[in-house]
Amino acid sequence: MKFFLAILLIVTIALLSVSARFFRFRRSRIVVALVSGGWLHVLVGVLIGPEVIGAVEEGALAKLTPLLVIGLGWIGMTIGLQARREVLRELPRSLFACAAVDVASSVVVFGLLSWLILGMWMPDAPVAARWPGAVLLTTASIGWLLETRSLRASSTPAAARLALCVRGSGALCAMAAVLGFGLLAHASSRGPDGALSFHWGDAVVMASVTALLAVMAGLIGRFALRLAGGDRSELLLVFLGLVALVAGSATSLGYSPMLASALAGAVMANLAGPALRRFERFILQAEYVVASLFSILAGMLLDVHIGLAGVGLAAALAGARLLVKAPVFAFSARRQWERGIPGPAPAPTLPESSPLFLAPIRQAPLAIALGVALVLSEASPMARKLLGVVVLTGVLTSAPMVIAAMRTGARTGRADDREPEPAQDASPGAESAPEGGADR
Amino acid sequence: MSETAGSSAEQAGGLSPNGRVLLVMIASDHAMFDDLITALLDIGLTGATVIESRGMGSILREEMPIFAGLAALIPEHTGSRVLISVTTREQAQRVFRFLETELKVANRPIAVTVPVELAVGLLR
Repeated sequence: MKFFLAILLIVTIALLSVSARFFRFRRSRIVVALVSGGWLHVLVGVLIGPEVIGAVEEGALAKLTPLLVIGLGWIGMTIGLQARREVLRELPRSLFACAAVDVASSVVVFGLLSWLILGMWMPDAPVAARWPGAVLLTTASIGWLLETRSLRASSTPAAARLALCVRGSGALCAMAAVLGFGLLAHASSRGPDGALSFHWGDAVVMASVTALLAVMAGLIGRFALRLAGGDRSELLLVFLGLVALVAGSATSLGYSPMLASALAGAVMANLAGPALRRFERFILQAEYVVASLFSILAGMLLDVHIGLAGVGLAAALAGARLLVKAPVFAFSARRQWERGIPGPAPAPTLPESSPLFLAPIRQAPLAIALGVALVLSEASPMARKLLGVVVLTGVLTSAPMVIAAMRTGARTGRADDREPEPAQDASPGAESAPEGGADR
Repeated sequence: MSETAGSSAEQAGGLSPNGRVLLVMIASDHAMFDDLITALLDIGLTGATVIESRGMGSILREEMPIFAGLAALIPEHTGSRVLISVTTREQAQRVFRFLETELKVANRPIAVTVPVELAVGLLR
């Protein structure tokens, strides 16, 4: 009974936080900067979890598994549904280039950093034991928080282009992170003695089976949605059933539920049919509710007792984001954007300076989902500590951005984003390609 | 052939069945839009202009995605469509009757009419 009431409380908090009454608060840039990362919801989860109030006891955490699997499936599907051919074709190549640069730099910098620090944290463990944690921390570092409202000081075309660059390349990074985690984290398994072993051949089989599962889910989904017709309650049942089928099947096979759902979402996004479009809309519109619910559950799952080593690791990751992410993004965005638009007209440019260039410092909320995915697959105390490290890294990277948002709010209306020469933005031909869908 | 709305009934604010009104419909459900257009043609509303539009909420949400940074670019999610037509009051009433009897509440567009005092360029 207590567990049921706790779940009811979680769902109520999640629904209230995305209700119109509370959504109004997001008009404030500072509130947006505070809540967009999901950290407040995680804090609520920590408070009602076994660490503080104990509304959900330690032993009952295993009962959360089905909810977490569906949550991971929903998040994966949300990411996968964006991979529609016609949308990806219209994106400027500069977005793909920015995303590729971020993935490469994150793998090198954060992969090395997490490998070294995990070695110091677990000096007595075999080297292979660092693998799951290193995969999590590396893929969690890919991409960034996609929210641009709190950092956008002006509404000029150049600022809009930069915001699109932040959101677009961040979204592509999220796809890469889900793919990387899904393949690499599940390429290893623990034996009965706890030793880690790698099965690269099994990883290939896993990738193939996951892809097959995704295609089947897409086709089953289209058929089931057509049967459901326009009835909302039947559609909801189909939606939930489809997410649970894909994510649950992947989990029971020992594969990544997020990757399977992401691939299923990508398949469905590229199949025709009005019913699938309704499904797409439903999944995407539920983004806020699912993110809130999932963050609260993650807060209940994480281990707050990460010690000085864990705090040090989080601080190191946050520091690396501060030093590496923003400059790399600014460099690649300017370089790629300004040479990527073909045609005789001068290329539209990005602002010379803008708080939006700092956006990549903030860790993506997807990192929480990846951490939870590791906890579900590893079921070890270390995995829960690593989830705590990921959350702390997110909080540390969001804090300076709240200050940036306060300064941005003070500057709004003074158009302090320094703009390029007006003549460069005035060419009509140069406006069409990069702003393909952003202004619709 | 063009005409102006010069009759006394129309100048009195368009209260007669043949008086002109501006019919404005905001449809956010893309899946229903084609069916809506077809039904309007069947009713006899043959002249209308469709404008791609976006709601205030979607503009705010576009800047605050959590996982779906590209969702704002997906065609069905970029907003709603506004249909405007200068038509007769009687025609508009037929449209409203259709909306109220044939569509479920959840699927109905927002529809309003505004009396037209003067008009030019209408072909009928």
